[in-house]
Amino acid sequence: MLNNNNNKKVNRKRIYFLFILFLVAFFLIIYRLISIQYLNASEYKNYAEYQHTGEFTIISKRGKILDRNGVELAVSLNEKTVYANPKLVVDSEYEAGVLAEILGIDESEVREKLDNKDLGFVYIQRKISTEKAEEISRHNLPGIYIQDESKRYYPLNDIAAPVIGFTGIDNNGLSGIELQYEKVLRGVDIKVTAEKDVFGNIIPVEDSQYGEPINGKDVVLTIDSQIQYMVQKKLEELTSEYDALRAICIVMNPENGEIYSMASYPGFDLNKYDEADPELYKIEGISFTYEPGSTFKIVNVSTALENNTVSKSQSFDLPPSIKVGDRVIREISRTYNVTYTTEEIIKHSSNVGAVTIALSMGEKMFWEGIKNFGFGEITGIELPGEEKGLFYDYKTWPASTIGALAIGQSISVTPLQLLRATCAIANGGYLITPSIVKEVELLENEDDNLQLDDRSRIISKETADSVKDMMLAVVDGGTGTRAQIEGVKVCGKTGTAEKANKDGVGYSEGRQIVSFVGFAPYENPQVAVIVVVDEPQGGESGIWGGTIAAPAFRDIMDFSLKRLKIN
Amino acid sequence: MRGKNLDTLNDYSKDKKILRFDFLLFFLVIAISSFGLLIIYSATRETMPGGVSDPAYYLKRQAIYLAVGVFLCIAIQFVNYRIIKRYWWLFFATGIILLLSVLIFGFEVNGCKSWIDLKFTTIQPSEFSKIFMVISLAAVMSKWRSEKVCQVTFKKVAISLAIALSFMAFVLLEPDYGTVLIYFCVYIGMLFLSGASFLYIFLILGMAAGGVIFALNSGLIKQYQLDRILVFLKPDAQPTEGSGYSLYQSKLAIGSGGLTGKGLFLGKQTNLNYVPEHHTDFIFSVIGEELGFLGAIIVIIILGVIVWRCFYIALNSSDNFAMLLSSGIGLIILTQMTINIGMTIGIMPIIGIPLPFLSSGGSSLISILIGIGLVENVSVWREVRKEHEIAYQDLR
Repeated sequence: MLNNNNNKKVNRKRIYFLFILFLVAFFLIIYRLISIQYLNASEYKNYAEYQHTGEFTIISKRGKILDRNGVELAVSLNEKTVYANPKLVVDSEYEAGVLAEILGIDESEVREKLDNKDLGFVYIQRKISTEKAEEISRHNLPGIYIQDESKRYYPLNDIAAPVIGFTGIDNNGLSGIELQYEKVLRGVDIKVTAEKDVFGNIIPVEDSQYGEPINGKDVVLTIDSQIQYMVQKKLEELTSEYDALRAICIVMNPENGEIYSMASYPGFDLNKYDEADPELYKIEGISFTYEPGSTFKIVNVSTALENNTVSKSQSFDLPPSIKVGDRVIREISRTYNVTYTTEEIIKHSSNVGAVTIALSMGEKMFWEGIKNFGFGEITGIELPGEEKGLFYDYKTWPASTIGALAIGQSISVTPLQLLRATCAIANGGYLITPSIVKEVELLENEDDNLQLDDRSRIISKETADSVKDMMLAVVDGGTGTRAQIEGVKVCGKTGTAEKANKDGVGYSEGRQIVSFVGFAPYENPQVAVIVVVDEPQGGESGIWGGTIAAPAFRDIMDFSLKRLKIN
Repeated sequence: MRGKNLDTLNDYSKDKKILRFDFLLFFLVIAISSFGLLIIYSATRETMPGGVSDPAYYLKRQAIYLAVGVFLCIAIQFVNYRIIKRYWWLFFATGIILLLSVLIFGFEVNGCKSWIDLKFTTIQPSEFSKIFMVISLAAVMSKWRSEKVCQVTFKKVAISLAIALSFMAFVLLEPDYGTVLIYFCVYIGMLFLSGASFLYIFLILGMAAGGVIFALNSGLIKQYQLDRILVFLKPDAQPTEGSGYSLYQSKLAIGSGGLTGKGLFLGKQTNLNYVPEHHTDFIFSVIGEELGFLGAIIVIIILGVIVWRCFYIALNSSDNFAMLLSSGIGLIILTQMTINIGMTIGIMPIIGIPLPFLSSGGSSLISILIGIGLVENVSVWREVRKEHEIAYQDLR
């Protein structure tokens, strides 16, 4: 018993010791809790608050881009949309049956879509209810998808691709109309602050106040997708037939400047823009600059007629070559002297004649005339990335420049600039502002900065009509006979320009830019077209604007007139 | 000896044992466990872990466990602990068999094969074996003192070590390092209280350290596992993943609770799922966030009083087995609460052990309630000596 008592004392000591150990741990925990929950509480509170708070954006639905007839060029798949990738469909009969039953649509039609194995994308039905979408996804059909996020989709793939442009990951416009009309198309997003769980899910808070986003507005282009399609096909043919670097074409209304088609080849598929060479994103119609060559003689002769330095029927004795400053400008193939009227100079595209006309004006007058036609300035079309071209002030000109300008050298222009200048001949003397946007619903508080009916007279109707007659003669029996269309009087001008050497000195043979610009019908011009082909090779009848560009011009003009029901 | 024991046993039965039941301990245990139900409900009603669809699923489940545990806790009072002492080997065998069966029939959770699926429920045998180990050790160690003073021989310590090791070895095989650590702390504590010389205690601590170093060197424990456990030593460790992330989120929860907390059910760190395992291992961070410093302190004080009652009953017990049994249970609660709470505030290693009475889980709650039942038993069946007997003994 004595032992036991002694033992008890040992036990007591040891138990007390343990309890003291516990108290140490206890106070350590208390100390730590005070540190966390009192001294540094606000810091922890802030961190916690920060990670729970999610700011998210309810993205407004991006507006569509439509062609002049309402054909969808760019759409956003915001709704539940059923689509298929026919390449991945396994049993089209079964799948079509299921889809047709749920959606209440014709089974054979669905079957047909699913069997079209060439396509990687085909709509089954758009804007369906969530219930139906869920029912479809429950069936787990291979190759059938439900889309409910906003995705930009371009139904016509490569049609007018650079003009329409594309959007980036955040659905923001990166080029073309998508960029130019970003604000209109995007609308106004709504930013919402709400609680966010650890997985990033937003927890709806009942009392959170937020409005509906303002959806983006549609942009209607002046483009006619049928003409655009035909033009692109034509340019593709042209490029491959002549092994050219590129071909560019613009189809335009000379009265109001509406662009029916702005195309270039090679192109790219908007739905796979990231696979294409970024060089192709450029809108060549407004960004490709070149020396126009003989097509520029229209500007030359118009200015001279307007200033009465020559008259329409005035005759000129023309030697095969003429010296201007330190440069000798020759006819292309003529080695003898001829006598041409002003009209015949244009009809046969005489270089010496053109130089003679230019010299009759002098540098300042010619320079002013060229400026009046809008060269050296952007046209103001509603597209990003427009080039001005190169056109120097006459005060800096060397003596030979006036001669070079007379035949469309020493100046670089965009196809649209030249077509716009040509339109002034077609519409009786007005410089118009080309336009590619037909309608756009502006957002509230947005200034209407669209320039409507913006045209100014640059030459008299008489001058315009005279040049128009000359251009009719070009097609009738001059250098542009291959542009003739049966039953339609066509006016035009050919251009063949040797490309400047890469080092900028002189011109290189075998590297030409051929072009044809014109309009029709003669009586009441409704369509103006320019075709530019860069470095065509080995045409059977030689590399000329009249042999390569003119036939393409003719086909495009013919199609456009028929499409627009103009006769 | 045996006959004498049975005689005294009859004597005890004549006393009013109900008066010796520690009502304070029992009341605190019921209070803290019921509070646990509330906190578990708060932790699970929004997040519903494990993909359950009933917000009250964990509340209902825990309520059933609590009822079962309280029933067992009271039922134990009808058996004299001396009978438990006599048949301690039965508990030893049961504990070992349980741990063996988990290795054979168990299933893995988070890389630890520590669960057995009984179809109607799942159990974690290592929780129950903890109690069985305490019973076994108390029985073995209690014999040391009834002989002569300082007769704790090497052989006897070795036997106790063998018993503890056989439990720990099976848990190590699962491998559940956190639970092994608790086993080890409880063993060292009991060895200390048994009166063993410090030499043995330091020897065993040294062996444990050697074992850990060996396990590290031989690749049994990977460095990254150790880093994970010891992440609390590096407060600026990457808070984006693993246990560093858990610790960071737990500290944010507790810290953002401030002095008075955000209010019951209003813990965003919990409801938005930022704190992992918030209804089990990290339940304390829910308390800290929703009830603040005041709530946390009250919980810690209640747990502290429970531990104190266990040691108090140990001090007033009639024999060494009772003392060791009661303090062994106290040690379980003490080490688990210290490590668990310390883990959530970054002063203890991150190991997955439950907070006694509060963490969701049946095995943990029921086994600790059985443990409380044993402590109460020690109190109920203690020998009460009359005043004159004490005076007489002291005279001798």
